[in-house]
Amino acid sequence: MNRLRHQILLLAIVLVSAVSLTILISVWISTAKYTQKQITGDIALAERVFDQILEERQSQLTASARILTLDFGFRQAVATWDIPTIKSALLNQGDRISANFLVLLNPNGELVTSIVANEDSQAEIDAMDKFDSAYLLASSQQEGASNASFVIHDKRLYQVIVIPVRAPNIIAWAGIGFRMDADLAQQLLNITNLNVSFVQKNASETRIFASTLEDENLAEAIEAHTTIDQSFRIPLLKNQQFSSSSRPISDNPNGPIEAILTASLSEAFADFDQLRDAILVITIIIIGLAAIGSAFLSNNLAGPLAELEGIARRMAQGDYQPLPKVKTRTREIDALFSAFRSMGDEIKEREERILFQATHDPLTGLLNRAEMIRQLEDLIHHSTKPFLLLSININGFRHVNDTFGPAVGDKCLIAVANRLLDLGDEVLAARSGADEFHLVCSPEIEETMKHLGKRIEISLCKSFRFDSLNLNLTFSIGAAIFPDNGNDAHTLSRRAGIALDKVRSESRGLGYYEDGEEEAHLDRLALLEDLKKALEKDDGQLRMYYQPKQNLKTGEIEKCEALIRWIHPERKFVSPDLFVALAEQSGLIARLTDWVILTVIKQVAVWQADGIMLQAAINISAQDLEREELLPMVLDELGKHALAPDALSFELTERDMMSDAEKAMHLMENFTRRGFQLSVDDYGIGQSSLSKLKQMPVSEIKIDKSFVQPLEESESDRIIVRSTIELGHRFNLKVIAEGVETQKALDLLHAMGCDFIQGYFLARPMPPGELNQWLAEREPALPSDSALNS
Amino acid sequence: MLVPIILRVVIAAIHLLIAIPYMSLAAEKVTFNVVDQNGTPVKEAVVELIPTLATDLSMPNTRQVMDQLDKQFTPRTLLITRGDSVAFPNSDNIRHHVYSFSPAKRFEIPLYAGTPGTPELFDKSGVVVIGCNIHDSMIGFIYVAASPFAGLTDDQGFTSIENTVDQPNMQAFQALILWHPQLSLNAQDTLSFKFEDLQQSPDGTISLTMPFTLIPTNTD
Repeated sequence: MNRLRHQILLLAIVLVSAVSLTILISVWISTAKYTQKQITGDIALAERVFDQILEERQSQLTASARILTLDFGFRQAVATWDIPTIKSALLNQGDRISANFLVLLNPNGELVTSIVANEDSQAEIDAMDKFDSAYLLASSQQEGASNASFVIHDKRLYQVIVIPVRAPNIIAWAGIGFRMDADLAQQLLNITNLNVSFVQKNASETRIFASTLEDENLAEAIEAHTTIDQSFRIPLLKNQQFSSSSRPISDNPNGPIEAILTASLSEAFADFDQLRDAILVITIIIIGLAAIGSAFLSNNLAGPLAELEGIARRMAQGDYQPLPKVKTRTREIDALFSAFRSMGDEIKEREERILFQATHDPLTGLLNRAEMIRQLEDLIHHSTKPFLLLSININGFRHVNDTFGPAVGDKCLIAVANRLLDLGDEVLAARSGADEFHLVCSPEIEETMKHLGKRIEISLCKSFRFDSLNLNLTFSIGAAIFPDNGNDAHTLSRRAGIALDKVRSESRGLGYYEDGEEEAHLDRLALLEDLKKALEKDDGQLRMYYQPKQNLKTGEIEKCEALIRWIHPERKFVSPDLFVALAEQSGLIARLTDWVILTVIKQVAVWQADGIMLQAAINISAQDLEREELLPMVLDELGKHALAPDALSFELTERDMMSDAEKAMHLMENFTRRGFQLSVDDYGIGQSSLSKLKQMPVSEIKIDKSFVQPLEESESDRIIVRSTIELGHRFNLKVIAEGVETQKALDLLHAMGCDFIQGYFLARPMPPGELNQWLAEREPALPSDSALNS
Repeated sequence: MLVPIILRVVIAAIHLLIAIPYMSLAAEKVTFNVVDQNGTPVKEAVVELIPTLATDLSMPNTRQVMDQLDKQFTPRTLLITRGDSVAFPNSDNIRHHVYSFSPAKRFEIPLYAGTPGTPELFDKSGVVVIGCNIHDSMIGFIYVAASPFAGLTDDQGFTSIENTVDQPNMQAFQALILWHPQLSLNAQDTLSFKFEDLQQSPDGTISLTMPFTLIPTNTD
């Protein structure tokens, strides 16, 4: 990821560079082309001028030469071959027209005499004797009317005007030589503005006769191309320096003689180069300015952004300190900063709210359980001061809600919370469940823990007044003491909970955790786990025992009660009261009941197949009754084994039946409608009235063994049993007594008209095999003759 | 100078004696036809016959005229015999400066109009090139023949020479000289032919071929 700063910088530089370079290049190219065109034009013009000048020079020279040859005296001298006169005339004329040399040839082209202009060297004069006059004449005639010939003599190039001396026919030829020297080249340069070089080119070499060029450039310039390609004149590189075009002057056996016109491109392009350099510099300056400008801009932007980044990071870490004032010149950045500021404030506020909600109960404003535990841990961590942890439950709070409506319920909760908070400044109060509170409270000086607990209970139990409503609430309070009952929050809380459970089950107001209770609690939990496994495995740990019931009228065994037994692999026999109660508390009862029903149905089916007709009674709980799927399941299973509903009956405890009588009645009717018999178990120990009982769709009541066992000794129990039997019969209910352990009891019950008995006197609960044997071997336990007689 | 003249007279006399048998015939004319390499008739060519015997023939001292008309010498080529005089009248209304640097006759008649006082005497045989100092284009030729046996070709390149020597046919002449200005730049050169080399056509015409291609003059 690129930094914003770099991106802005890059963008600006790229854009400006692109624009500048485009302009630069287009100006560059077009200017170069324009300049090139201009220069090419200039050169072409100069070439024409050059040609013209050379031509004019030739006619001038010719004209001046003609003056000599037309001179009558000269002609006369020639005609008479008066050599001294001829020489003097030539010399005179040569001076007059600044010729370098003059020669006179006879009509056949043989050299008659020659004159070298006075400034020339003796060597040249000597060389003149070897003058190739025949060639001169031939070439001049060949070149026709121009009369001019270019000859190389003594390493110098001469333009020689050869004109006839007529008298009036040609009597001789006069040749007037003009050296093509640097002066001439310079003159031509002055006029044409092009460097001029006179050269002879042949395959092996280029002879240079004269040039206006500097010696060091000479070779390069002469060989330079005519065409100019300077679209890109890149500075500091070696560019084409010269453009040369050659103008043929004359043929020569040793190679053509040419004038090379050389334009110095570096001079011609000087203006262009200057312009180009200026543009280049301007471009660089612009790019530089763009870089500086964008750096400034990006700093202006990126600086505050980096600052904001830091602020956002701090905010992420929960630091909502007011934002520092940042100096910016950008309104948007300012706006961003103020947005950040308000965002920070709002997040802070929201976070506080969320934090509060996360740690507090919204209704009462008390801590929630987790926060209470946390604060408790803090407290324990920081201090060793003893305190009391109370787990408080409002008894029957559901009734308050149901009776007075949830608004009152909420008011109650708030009122309770306020009372908890009123207990002291240093209390930790938490609402940890619907009607559950936790309170951490330290005793005052010289106050015992028990006293503190009592004080709290008393202050809570004062009646509450809501508008016109006066409400008395009772509480179950479990207490754990720090550091006696534990030195960490979880242990304390758990133990307070155990104490609460104990208090609730014992229907007391306040109870303290006592050592070992937790272990027992854990033991029960372990047992529950084992029960679950036993149900899953179904490996014989759980088994059904059957206790026969005898019809006192007939003495026959018509029924039996199916009782579950659990032989734990380690604990061996586990009390059914214990594990059934555990199963009920933990919701495992449904699976347990299902298992029982299936097992019993199978057994009944086996019995019926063996011709043993026993109605098996199964204990079901209120929880079982509420399960809609139970009845169809039972019917289904019976159907599978082709059994009629009267093969089973169900026993419900009085307490289960009466806790929600209306509902229970409705559910029970479903069973009776299907033909099942229902009986009331443990009758007598509950708080039910017979008047309620009569509305129940039951066909049998079972008198609790607590009345039956002391029957022989206790008159009052005898009265209760007798009257119960009578009442039951009045309501057309069969009555069965359980816990019959003696013949005497049997006799008494028989006398009281009890319909069935069940008890050790008759038989213990037995596994099916034993029961079968017992049935086969039994002597009917009948009322003793004395009883029968009495 | 005298001895050679005597010698030549003697030789001429001997020749004459030998030629007597041939002279029986009346004077006859020989016609020459001069053409260039392309067969184009060459006018203004001079054919001069060299007599076999040296004869000191009478000098007629004829007076000839080379006029100047329209900045031209008229005629351009004048055939005269040694000893003749030539007058150079100026028929133009401008002045001329007639001169000659030719070895046969050097003279100069400075700027004049009309007819100059005395004609020029041409007493040496040869070619005299006549010019005008102020009009370069004016050029004239005077062929000074050594004997009267010379002829100037007409426009068709024909010329006839009368054999006044009492010798039959052409035996009176040992050689033939042919001249035309175009033969050389200085117009002095001539061509020589031996008579026995010449072919005579049945009608008696002798054809002579110039070794050049005729350049037409601007007067044509």
